[in-house]
Amino acid sequence: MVTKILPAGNLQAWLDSLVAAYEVYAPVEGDGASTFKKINKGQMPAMDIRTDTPPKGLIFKQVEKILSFEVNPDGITVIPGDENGTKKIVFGIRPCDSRSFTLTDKPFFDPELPENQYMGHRNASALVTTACTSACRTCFCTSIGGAPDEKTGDVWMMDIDGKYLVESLTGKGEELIKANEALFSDASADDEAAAKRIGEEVASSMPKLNIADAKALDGLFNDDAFWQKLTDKCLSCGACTFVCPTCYCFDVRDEGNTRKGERYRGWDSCMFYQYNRAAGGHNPREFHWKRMRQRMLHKFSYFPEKYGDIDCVGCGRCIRSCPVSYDLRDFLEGSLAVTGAAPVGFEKELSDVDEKVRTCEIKPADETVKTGGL
Amino acid sequence: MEKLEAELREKAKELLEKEEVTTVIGWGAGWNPAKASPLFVRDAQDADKLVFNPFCQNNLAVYLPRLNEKAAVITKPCDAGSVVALIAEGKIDRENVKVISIKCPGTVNPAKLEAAVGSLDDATAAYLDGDTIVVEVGGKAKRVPFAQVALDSCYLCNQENAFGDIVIDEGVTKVSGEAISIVPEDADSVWWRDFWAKEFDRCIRCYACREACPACYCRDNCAVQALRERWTGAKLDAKEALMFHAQRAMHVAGRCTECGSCERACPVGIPLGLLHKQVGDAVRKLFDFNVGEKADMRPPLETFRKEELESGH
Repeated sequence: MVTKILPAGNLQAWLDSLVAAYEVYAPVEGDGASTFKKINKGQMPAMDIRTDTPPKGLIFKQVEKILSFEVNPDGITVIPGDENGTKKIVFGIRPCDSRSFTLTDKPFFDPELPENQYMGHRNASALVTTACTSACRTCFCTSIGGAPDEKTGDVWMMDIDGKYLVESLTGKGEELIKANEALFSDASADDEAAAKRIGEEVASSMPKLNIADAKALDGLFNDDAFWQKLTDKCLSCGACTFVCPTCYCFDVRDEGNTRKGERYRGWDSCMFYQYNRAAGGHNPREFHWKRMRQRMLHKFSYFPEKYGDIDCVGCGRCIRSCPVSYDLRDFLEGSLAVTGAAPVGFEKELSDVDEKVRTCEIKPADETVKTGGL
Repeated sequence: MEKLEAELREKAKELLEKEEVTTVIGWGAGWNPAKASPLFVRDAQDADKLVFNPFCQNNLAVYLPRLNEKAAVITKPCDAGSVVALIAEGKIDRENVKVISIKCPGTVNPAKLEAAVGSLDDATAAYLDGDTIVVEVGGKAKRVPFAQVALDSCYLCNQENAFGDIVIDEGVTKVSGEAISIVPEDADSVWWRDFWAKEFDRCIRCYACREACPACYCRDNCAVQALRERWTGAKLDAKEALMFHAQRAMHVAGRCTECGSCERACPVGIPLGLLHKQVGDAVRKLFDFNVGEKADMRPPLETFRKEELESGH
C-alpha cells in the first residue's frame, strides 16, 4: 500500500484522469439538497459539504430492475436485470458513509444467499474516502466505533493544510494512485503526524455517547411506556430510513401481467405501516412506536448480535432530516439510563466481510427456466 | 413573546394539574435552536419546557386524529384552521381535545434563512430580536430581517380566526413582507410541467410531506401505498413522483390551510407549498370557500350544492 501527497492544485487533474476511465460520483450542491452525482471532466466536487442524501443509492439502488420475464411456448424466459458491471468511483465519500458499505456488505454478501445485484455494484466500485477535518453538531461517529479519520474504503485522503495526504487501503485503491503517479509526491513522517493530529482534534471536539450493549437493549423490547414516550412526536414517515446510509430494507414488486413483466427491487422502510403488514391483514407493528422500536433495536441490538457491529455510522442525517427533530441520541442516552447496562464502547476494529465472500462470483441467471405448466 | 410563552406554560400546567388532560402538545427546544420540536408534556413540572418562537414550525394538529387520550394542543392560527377542518370532517373526538389558540408572528422558512445566513446545522442559538432573526454560528451572530425569511404563506396569512377552547390573546407583531416568487408571471402549463419534472426528480418517496400534513389522515391506508390497487409504479422517477404529489394535492384541495408543514418536512427541499397554493387559489376562486373558517361546513370537493348543478359547474 502506498502513502503519497497530492498538492491541492493537482486534485482536478487526478479527478479528470479518473473521469476519463471510470464513472466518477462525488458530492455536489443541488436545488434543495446536496447529493452524490456523476461528475464531468473539469468539474470540482463540493469537497467540504456533507451531502443531505447518502451515497447509498449508488451501490444499493433505490429502485432497480432485477429481472424481466416473458412466457413463451417453451416455458418462461427470464432476463437478468440492469447491467451492473460499470466500473465506478465514489469520490469524496466521508468515513461514516464509507463504513456504511462495509456494514451493508454483511447481510448482502451472505455466502448462502448473496444479493447479486448489490454485490455486482459493490465489486465494481472503488471508494475514495475523504477524512473529516471538522465535525457537525449532529455527528457522533466516535460513539459507534468510527472516527472522523477512520481508514475505510479503497483510498483514504485527508486535507492537511492545502495538500492531501493520500493512502491506498486496497489493491483497487493503489491502482487509482499508481495510474497517475506523476501527480503525487512522497509523504513524509511529518505529513502523517499532521493528519493524525487533525483526526484526534476533530474526534476530541465531538461529545462521546455511551451505548448500552445489544443484549440489554433487547431487554427493553417489552417496555412499552419507554418506546411510547420516546416516540410521542414521531410521524412515522420514511425520511430517516431513506437518508440513512445503513438502512437496507427493501421490497420486491412485479409490474406487468402474467405473460410478461418486470420485477423491481426498491428501498422500503420499517417506518411504513405497509412494510409490517402480513398477509391476511395482521400487523404486528400497528403503531408508530412499535415501528420505531424495530428501527432502533435493529440497528443497536439485533444487527450487532448477529454481525458484531452497530448498524449505524453516526452521520446524523436522520437527526437533521427529521420533520419533527427526533434525535436518535435521545434514544441512546435514554436507553442507557433505563437499562443501566455497562457501555460497550465499540473500540474494536470494524470486522470485515470474509474476503472469500467479497470476491465470490456472481452466477448468471439461467436464461430459460423450464416450467412445463404455464 | 416572553409573556405569551409564560402564559402558555401557565395554562399547560393548570390543565395537567387539574387533570383536564393527560398531555399538552406544544413545542419544545429541538437539537437545533433554529428548529423547535413538537413536545408532549405529561407532567405539570415539565410545562416550563414549552417554547414559542418563529421556529415553531410544525403543525401540531397532525397528532389529533391518532390520539387515544385527553389532550390539549397549542395552535397557531393556521394549525387552528387545520383543527377546524378536522372537526368538520369528523376526524377529531371533540370531547377529548382542548385547543389552546395563540397569536402568531409568522414562522421562519428554513430554506430562506439558510440562503441568507448559511447552513443552520451548526447554529448554537437562534432567536427573534425585534424584527430581526439572529442566528449564532461559531460564536458569530448573523442577523437578517424576519420579513425576508418568513414563510410566503405567512405574508398572505388567511387564517386569522381565533378558534380555540382557550384563547391566549397576548398580542404579537405579525411579520409583513412580500413573497419573492420564483414563478414567472407568464408561467404556462409547459413551464409548470418542466418545473415539477425538475423538482420531483429528486423526490425520494419518503412520504414525510404526507405524514407531516394534518389533512393527510389516511396515513396507513394511503392510496399510493395500497397493496392491491396500484396507483404508482415501482419505478422511481419524476413521473411517478408527480403521480403521488398531484394525487395528494387533489386530495387535500379545499382542506389544506397552506401551513407549509409538507414543504418543511421534505428532506430534499421540494417547494411543495407552491403546488398547494396553486390548488388553494383555484378552490378559493371556484367555490368561494376558505378552509378553517367553519366547523359545520364540508370541504367543497367533498360535497356539492344544488346551485352548482343548475349553473352547470
